[in-house]
Amino acid sequence: MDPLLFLTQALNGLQLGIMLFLLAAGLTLVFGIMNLVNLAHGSLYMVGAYLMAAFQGWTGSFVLGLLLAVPATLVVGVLVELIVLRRLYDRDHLDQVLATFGLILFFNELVRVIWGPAALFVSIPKALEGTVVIVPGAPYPIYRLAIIVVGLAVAGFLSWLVTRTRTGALIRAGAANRTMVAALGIDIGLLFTLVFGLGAALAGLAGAMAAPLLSVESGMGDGVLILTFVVIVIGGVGSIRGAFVAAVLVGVVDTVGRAFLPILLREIFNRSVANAAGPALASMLIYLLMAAILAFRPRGLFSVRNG
Amino acid sequence: MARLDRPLIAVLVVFGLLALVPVYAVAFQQPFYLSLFARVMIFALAAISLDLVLGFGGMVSFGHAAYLGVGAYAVGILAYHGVDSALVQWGVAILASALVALFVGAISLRTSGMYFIMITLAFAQMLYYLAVSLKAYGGDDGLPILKRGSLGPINLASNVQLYYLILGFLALFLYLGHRVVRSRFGRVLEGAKWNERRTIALGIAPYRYRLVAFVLSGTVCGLAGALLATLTTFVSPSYMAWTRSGEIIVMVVLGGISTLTGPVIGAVVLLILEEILAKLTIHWMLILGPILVLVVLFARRGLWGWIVGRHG
Amino acid sequence: MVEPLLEVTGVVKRFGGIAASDGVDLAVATGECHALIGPNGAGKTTLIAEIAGELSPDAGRIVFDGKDITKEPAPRRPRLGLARSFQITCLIPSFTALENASLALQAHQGHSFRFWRDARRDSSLRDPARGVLARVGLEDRADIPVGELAHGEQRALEIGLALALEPRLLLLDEPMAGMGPADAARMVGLLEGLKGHVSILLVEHDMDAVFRLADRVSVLVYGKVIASGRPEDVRADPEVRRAYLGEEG
Repeated sequence: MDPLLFLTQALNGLQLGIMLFLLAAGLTLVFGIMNLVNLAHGSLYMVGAYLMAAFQGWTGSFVLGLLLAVPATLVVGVLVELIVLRRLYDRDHLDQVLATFGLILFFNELVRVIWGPAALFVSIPKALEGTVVIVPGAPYPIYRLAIIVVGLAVAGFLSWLVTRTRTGALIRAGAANRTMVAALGIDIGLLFTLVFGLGAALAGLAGAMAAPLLSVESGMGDGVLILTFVVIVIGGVGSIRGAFVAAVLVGVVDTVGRAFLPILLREIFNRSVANAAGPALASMLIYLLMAAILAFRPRGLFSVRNG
Repeated sequence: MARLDRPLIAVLVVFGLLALVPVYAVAFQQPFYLSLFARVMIFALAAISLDLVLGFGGMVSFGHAAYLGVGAYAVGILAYHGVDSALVQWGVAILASALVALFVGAISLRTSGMYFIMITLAFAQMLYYLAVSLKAYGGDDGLPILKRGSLGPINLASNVQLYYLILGFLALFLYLGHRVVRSRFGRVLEGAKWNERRTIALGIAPYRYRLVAFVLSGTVCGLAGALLATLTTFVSPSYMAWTRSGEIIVMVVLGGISTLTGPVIGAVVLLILEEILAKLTIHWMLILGPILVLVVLFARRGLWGWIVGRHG
Repeated sequence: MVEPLLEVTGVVKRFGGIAASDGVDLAVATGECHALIGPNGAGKTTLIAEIAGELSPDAGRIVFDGKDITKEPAPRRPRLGLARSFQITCLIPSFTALENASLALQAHQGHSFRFWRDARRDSSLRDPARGVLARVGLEDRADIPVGELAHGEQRALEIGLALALEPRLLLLDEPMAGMGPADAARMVGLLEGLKGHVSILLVEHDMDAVFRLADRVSVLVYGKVIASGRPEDVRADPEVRRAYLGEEG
């Protein structure tokens, strides 16, 4: 096994994990505090990517594009919350699933209507192009490193917000016991909108940063949404710390697994079996991981709910 | 003897109309309607199976398309390797989906609420990616089936005969479903849905009943998948797309959750609606999305409730 | 010395920093009606939940009929002879009274893996279910959905479901909660009729009912039993008066 390849893949896994964390952090709070199953979170990720492409196109600047796309996604998120999601807080999960499923279909088509069915491309800013040598013999793309840095900074900010501010205390309390927080006279509606807005901004940031790496197209949020679910299930609903640990775990296991499992299988089995089974097993890896963790901790690693 | 009341009349009308479709299709030389309604009935079967766990069991399974896929791929893979007997193909499809449902259910049912929803979705997605990665069986492009299996005296190559066979299966499982939900088993399932705490206090452990319901549901859905593969002579990972799971849930809720017959209506309406909307505009999803949201927000009893009024 | 039917020893249950059960010792003899009283928040419902198996104690033992049931899961306990009623009515809301009773009988008769026969027309369920309803005075209300039953009728059905399980020990958590005097008197009459046939652990605030029904009384305060004995002895105990009866004035 090539240690340099392993390092590169591990970093890729970390980068994927950071992206998943940005999505999972907001969504796990929405699940935990508002008890709302929101399938449309992936759509906000997609909207963030599309807005990034649009704003970068108009302004010609990556930074401006980012600075405009994230707040714009927040606005879209808040609008969705006010118009649709507000009415779902008291409904059962089935209704929430159906309504937000409808939103996915709507947004997937909406972006096609506005920007056409062809994929959009966002270019990496000049300053972040190219690679940097972290370890001799292992050049690593600067842009991906930048994503990791930004993601860790956001994680740090969230950690500060949640543990050292009054708002954060409310958020933690709400995630642990919603009814109690409402009973204490806190304006629950405002708290909900705030939490949702935060989640939307994080999703938009993830989408905007991912835009140069992937093709921006309709439905790009769907696969990532399900990965986010896996992260939240493993991490525990309502826990940001759980979201971070689980996201990095999922990102690294998935990336490293896909890279090395086929190689590993080739050592044990003959080539044809390994070539057939390798990619298949690699694609199932994180789900099997999820199943294994659930066998011991049905509520995830860091579950906080108790009310 | 069942009284001739509104629900029964409605069921007879629906099946009567379905039985007349081949007559119309042959007489007016519109074979498209034959395959359309055959597909509708297959999804109706899938929807009935989902209603057992979703409506009566209270389990929001967002991964039922996986069983469609497993059943379909069982048929496809066997056909690819030269196994021509439909009985064997469908038998393996049923067995395979039962085993998958057992595995998924055994793990997922240890959780509840939003965990359950996300986990069933995740497992279905796992199977989707598995199918995509099976290059030997077509991967993303899917796997064509050269010809439909053989079923003794019944000629499955005949679209009309296959149609009536599917209709027969639909009627059979609708009937069996009604028996199951009215049985002692069905009462426990419903009781646990409405008040799990009370059910446990009476000395019933809900997990095992829910698991059995889940396996029964997955098995029937697997049969629907096998029929789908036989009908279309094609299998593809898209049968297991998570949006497909969402569609089946929509059929159940639109038709009338917890009614078994409602989902049949739901399947008919949703698939016909998709056909009509697709002809109006290529952006029909833009319309269907909000329609769904509005149905959920405002229409609580589904179409079946509207059809049979308070007698249902 | 006859073994008690139920023996609770040193049971502890903590929620965060608070001990709802702080070393509870309690014994219920066969055939007796044993009342458990105490101020609000003393941990009475927690204790019932622990005996019924809904909550698992952090420490201590629960022995029923000579068998250590501390680790037995909740659904198994009715089969061992324990049945409980809930403080806050806990019925199947969309079922009728008869259907609730039938479900209890289904549970009592064994497993319910029967898929063919219509349970509503099954006379081996329906007839005994009517009997259960008759025992608690609800035979005329059989086909009423429980949501439409009066509060007193719902409380009576709670008892009925527990009785349907033919238990050796009834765990009754405030059966008279929220009842007016007429309903409460009916309930007391019902419970008096049960005395001797089935052992009862009765949590109640209604002191008249307690002193009419109970053979022995235990007083639970801050998760500990501070006194246990005959009703008149407990009533006279100065510590009890201070902790509990004194507060009631």
